[in-house]
Amino acid sequence: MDVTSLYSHLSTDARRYQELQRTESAIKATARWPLLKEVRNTLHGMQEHDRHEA
Amino acid sequence: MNVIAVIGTSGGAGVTTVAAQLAAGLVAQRRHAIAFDLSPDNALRLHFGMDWEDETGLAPMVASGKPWNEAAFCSASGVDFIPFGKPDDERTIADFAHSLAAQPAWLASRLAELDMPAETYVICDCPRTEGALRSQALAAARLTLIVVTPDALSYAAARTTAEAALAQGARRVAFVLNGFDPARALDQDVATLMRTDFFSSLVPVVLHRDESLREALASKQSVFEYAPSSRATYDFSALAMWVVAHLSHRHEKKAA
Repeated sequence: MDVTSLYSHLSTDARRYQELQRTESAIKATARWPLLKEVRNTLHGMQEHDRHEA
Repeated sequence: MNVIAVIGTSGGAGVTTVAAQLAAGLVAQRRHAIAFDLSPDNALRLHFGMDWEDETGLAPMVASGKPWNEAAFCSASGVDFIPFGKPDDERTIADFAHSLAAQPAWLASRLAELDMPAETYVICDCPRTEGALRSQALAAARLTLIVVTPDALSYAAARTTAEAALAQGARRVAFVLNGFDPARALDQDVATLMRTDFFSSLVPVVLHRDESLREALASKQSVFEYAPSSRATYDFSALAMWVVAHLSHRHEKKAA
């Protein structure tokens, strides 16, 4: 059993293992570059705003 | 007909190079492809060996009332292409853009007139800025490829560029990462963010930074002719395969 299957078998988190791994990598990426962090925060703010509008 | 518009998040993203090499990649896979230059930069032709001083192209033909398809050429490697051309003055470009604004379906109608086989791929090299020329291509395209470079500004502009394209009539947009160097930390991190934030819209082919591309242009050849074993040739072959598979898959889904 690979780590992805193991995770989906044991975890109660509905998100897929790869998705969590990507999110973790994205957080590390933005921690290294302040401008990327600001841009990403703005993008996510826009997405939140769109969700509220919908 | 499969019209593909290529636009960028910013100037210098490599839109013309991607459009030219994608057309060359499709032809290398025995597909019929036409590269169509809608950018007043008039640079697409240089990837196909046209003479620097030759000013023939779409805009001068339209301005002089001649049939625009007389500006079609075929490169040594078999890629059909239509250069934008160099009109006599800036006023001609402005008049051309103005007349297009009044005829939103001009490009789609002209392409339909060509009576090409349904499986033809028309790759449109779009201008850097929004306007009538770009809107025509977006409205006619089944797929709009947005070229993103691995830097902060390009990543920042990705979402707004896609939204603007959709607002101008694009049916489907997909990001393609261009100029990627796996040895550079920032490239890796921007690629990670693109995968995380735009996963469903990101083309699963990365176009690597490769000196062969610049050398091929300087040699007036496509990279498929100049460096057939290069990384760039491999990448653009993969991109051409993805485009063919993606569009035929969408066609089948629509038919079903």
